[in-house]
Amino acid sequence: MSLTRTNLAKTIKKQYFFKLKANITSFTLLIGVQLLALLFSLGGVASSSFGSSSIRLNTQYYTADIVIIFTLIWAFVMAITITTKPHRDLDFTFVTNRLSSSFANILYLLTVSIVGSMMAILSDNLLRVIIYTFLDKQFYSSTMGLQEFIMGISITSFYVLMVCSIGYFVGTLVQISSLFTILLPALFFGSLFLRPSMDEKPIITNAFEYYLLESSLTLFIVKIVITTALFFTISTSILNRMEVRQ
Amino acid sequence: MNTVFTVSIFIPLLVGITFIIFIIMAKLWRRFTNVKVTYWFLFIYIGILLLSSAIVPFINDNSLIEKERAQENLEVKDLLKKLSKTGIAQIDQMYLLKESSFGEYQNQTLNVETSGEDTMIRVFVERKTSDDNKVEAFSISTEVIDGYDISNDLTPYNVMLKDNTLTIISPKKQYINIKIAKPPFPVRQFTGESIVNQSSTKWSQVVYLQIPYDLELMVEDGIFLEFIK
Repeated sequence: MSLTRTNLAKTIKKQYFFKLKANITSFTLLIGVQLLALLFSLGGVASSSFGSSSIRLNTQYYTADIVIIFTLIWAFVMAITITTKPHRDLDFTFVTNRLSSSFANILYLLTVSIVGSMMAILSDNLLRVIIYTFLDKQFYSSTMGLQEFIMGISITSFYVLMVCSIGYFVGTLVQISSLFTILLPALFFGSLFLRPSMDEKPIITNAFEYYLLESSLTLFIVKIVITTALFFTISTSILNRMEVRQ
Repeated sequence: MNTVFTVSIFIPLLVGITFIIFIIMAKLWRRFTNVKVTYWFLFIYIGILLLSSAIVPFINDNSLIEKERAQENLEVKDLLKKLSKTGIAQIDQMYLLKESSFGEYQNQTLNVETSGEDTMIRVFVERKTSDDNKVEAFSISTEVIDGYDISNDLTPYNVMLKDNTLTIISPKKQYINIKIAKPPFPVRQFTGESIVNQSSTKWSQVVYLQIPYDLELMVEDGIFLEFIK
């Protein structure tokens, strides 16, 4: 029996800092992923062409969209990784329970989301500097204002956190049964081809559009918060019921 | 299979494949990195990101041909409408590409012709209130791409007056390639800005003439005259 008295908040705090230190190498992967995305972005993300008898105008558009998408996928992978057995076993170096472990995981993912988003939004400036320096000086660009910058980081953080919650949920399901390792990818790829009729979009595209096409900031935050909370709550409940060191 | 449908399958498919690649990368990555290396990478990468953020405002202001958004953010059609209603006096100087003035024109008629690549040219005509015997011609750029004025990239029409014929010489076909940086999608989603927003008309340039009030114009086919009221 341990003589050390502890409470939930202290345990979560200890575990959170431990997870930050233990998983710090994941940021090297984030840097690699963002640099790869920047490389892909150098070709432009969209283009348009316009012509008349006297002029032919080709416009190429550059954004950090690919960097953000890659950051989302990285976050999804990270969220799955922390639910794996080696990571969960590390928690038992502390006086802990499943609940404190889950809360520490959520806090860790929240930190990862904010850091990843800040780096993704800042990479937009790096992209502009690279294009200007190495590609073309005839480059039209406006500086992102402070309001746009803060908005960019906040909204990207919301997206990344939601993706983390989905990844955490997927990781949790895989911990229940390894059957989900086959079932979930099959469902994802299968849903691309499953649709009520040929003219309709796949279900997964509709799910993306539900968030991506929302133009009201309040509604967007409500949608994201509800989805994130739902996935984290379900995952925490499932993990809470699992046997110790299962 | 239509394009929208192909894209709607292609993008999630690509995301799925990228996810699988990242899973493999995440497993391999741990073997080659350690905490010390990570701190160095983070330090250098964040340093570069912050440095770029500090540089961007300066290169935008000086060399990047700063976003010269049209005054009041005019769309092309609005610019032409404004030109037609209020005349050249109310148009921002940045749209004027070239100005030519021909003094001591005594004839009662003026033939207007075109020469060069453009077979159709839109000409706005303003009759002066006082008769100074001068014919003035302005080439005006109406090419606004995504709110950016690209007048600097356009070769203006050349206007020449010989005897009683005014010739508008259009330049050789121009090929212009421009690059535009846009904010990332989480920002665009709420600012309503779309990634491709080309606001163009078939007129990349128009000609604006200021002529003596009693001068009669004779134009050839392909010239579209519009008189300022």
